[in-house]
Amino acid sequence: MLIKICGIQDEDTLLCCENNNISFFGMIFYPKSPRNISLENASLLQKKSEHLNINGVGVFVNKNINELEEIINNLKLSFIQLHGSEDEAYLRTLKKNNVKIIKSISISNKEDFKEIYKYKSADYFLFDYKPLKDELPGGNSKRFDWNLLKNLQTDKPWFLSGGININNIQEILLDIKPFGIDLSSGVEKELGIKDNGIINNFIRKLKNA
Amino acid sequence: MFNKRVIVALDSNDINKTINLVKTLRKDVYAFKIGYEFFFNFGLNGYKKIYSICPKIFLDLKLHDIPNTVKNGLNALAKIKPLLTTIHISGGDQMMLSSKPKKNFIKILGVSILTSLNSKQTKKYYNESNVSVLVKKFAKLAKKNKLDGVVCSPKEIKYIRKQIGKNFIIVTPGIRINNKIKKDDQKRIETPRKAIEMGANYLVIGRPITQAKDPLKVLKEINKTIS
Repeated sequence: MLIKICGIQDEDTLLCCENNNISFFGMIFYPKSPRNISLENASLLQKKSEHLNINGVGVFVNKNINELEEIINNLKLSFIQLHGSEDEAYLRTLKKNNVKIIKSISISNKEDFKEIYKYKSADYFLFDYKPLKDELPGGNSKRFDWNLLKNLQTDKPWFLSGGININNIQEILLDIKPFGIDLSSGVEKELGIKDNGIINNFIRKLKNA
Repeated sequence: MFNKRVIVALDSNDINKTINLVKTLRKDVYAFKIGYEFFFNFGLNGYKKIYSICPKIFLDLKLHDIPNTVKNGLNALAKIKPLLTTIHISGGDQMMLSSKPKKNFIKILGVSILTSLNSKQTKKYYNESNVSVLVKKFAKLAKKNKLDGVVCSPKEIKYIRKQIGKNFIIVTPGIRINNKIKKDDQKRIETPRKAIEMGANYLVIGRPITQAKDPLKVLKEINKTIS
């Protein structure tokens, strides 16, 4: 199972992730998020990661497509994650920039999984808790009913996201068995602040599960 | 390295020709402008055909009505996700303030004074024969009422950029590639490079590209001059 940690903002955390064999680090380009990263910082992390065995993922919410293409090319991103109401035409256009696309799908009931049929150009899906009106598009420490995943049929690999922490990782490994998991608030000491100790603990627990 | 600043105006009543043009140019444009001629000939279906090939659209319908009507219109328009759309600044403060659609990335631009109006016409309809004075006043009002930018002629770019600052989108039509091409019906014109140097973000160019023998070549040449 692959692990992605979302909302990385500094090199120290990036190195901690790499030490723990984490596959992806997410850089959030969304000013409303407490985990928002500047282009300059993202550029530094992305450069650093070129020599590491971990991939940067740019995370965006309904970003102007021209600006997004500019960021992809400037940062040489190989992976992006789209967290808004982007549509298939948007994804198809971005694919021309040689990126792999993770499309997040917000889930509150089984009908919500029908969304996946709209996105032929997505390479991966990421299933997350469906936020309420006033909540962020992601990183709310909340989970949806994971039982809904049992009837899921898709050829594409998918990540589980939302409310994953040290207490439910065993259930995920044994029952849900996703291609990957996406962590954020579950490895933070306070809102938006990642903690290397919690990351280390999490991975230790995962290995022993 | 980022030099996509050209918005190609798709003013045509031939949909197949337009689709081919979009396919040819899509990688090198900032957006395609869909205006009355295309939209009222081909409607939403036509729009969606273009959008599915290239979802970068400036839907230029220049809305002008009472605030609530414009607001509801824009909320409906937001569903088809253009990057840019337009309303008339002369619709008034309240119309502009209530124009922000609830969701997504659409930028709302204010139309100042139509570039086809000369000083006689502006005197007649706005009681001001100095077009620049009018445009500057309108641009300030657009900013004050929270629009994302304006559409203005190249002549006013410099002043608007200076007065209103960086965070304001300036889109300018009336661009011709060189002086040999006749001016058509847009009275105030400039070259692409000059317009960018003066502070325009995006240039709307129609016929010099769409009616060229090799539209992509012309577009790339323009991109080169402004990169």
